[in-house]
Amino acid sequence: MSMSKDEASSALHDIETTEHRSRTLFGYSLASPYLLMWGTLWIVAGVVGAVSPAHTGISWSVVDMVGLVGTAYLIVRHARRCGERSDRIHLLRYVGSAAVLAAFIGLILMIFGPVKGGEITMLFTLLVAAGYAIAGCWIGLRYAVIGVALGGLAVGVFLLAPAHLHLIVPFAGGAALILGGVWMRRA
Amino acid sequence: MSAPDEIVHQSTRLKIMSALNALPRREMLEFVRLKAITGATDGNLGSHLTTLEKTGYVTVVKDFVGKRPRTRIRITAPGRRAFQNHVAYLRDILENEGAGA
Repeated sequence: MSMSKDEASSALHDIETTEHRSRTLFGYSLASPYLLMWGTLWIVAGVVGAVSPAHTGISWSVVDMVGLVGTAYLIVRHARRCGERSDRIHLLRYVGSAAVLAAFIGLILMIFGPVKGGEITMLFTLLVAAGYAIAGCWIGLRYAVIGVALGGLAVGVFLLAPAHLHLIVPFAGGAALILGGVWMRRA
Repeated sequence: MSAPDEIVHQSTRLKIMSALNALPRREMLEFVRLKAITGATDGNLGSHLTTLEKTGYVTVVKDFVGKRPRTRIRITAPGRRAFQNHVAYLRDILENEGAGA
């Protein structure tokens, strides 16, 4: 069996395209549990906020803590699934990223404060949406779709029903994340 | 120069091996997802998987999720080596032609 340069080039192109598609779909399957978990947590916080508005702040704090611990668990599980030798490095990177993000949000709230509940909701939602949209530019179109949907939804509610922002965004955002998670799982 | 692999060389099998090689070790790909990636039909994909399985390049695992049957495929260590050797062969062709031009 012998091959021409064109045949070899075409075969290598096929390999590259197929590997890229396979990695993207595998990445979607890894990302799905994060979306499902955070989507559910957003809805839980939304329910608590709707039932008892006085406990909105504390419910978000609890939900965020649960989400951060859950994310750490998923990172370790995925690192092991992918055959990584050390999941400690992944955990350290995660803790570092979470600390940078927490400091960034804290400083933004301090500099632009005092901020109202609705504005905090918008800040968090748009940050998450931007994160997904940026991920979409690099690792898979579906992340971008989820980011744009989430951001568009939040801006829509901000413009059309600003008084109900803190009530609508957790439910709509949570539902968008859950739908995104299911969509990625089925990719 | 590396040698071509007659089994991996066929275009659908090359796509199957590419898709599986891109995954981490021990990770399996569901039949449905592999079908979507390769663009092959059920019958065509099944037939090429049988060839690859007989050669020992892939392992096919069949089980049930609830009442739904599920077929998953994993590349074996010899399969990964054969695929990587074939890729090296393809690259050699390009490099040797390039050097000669």
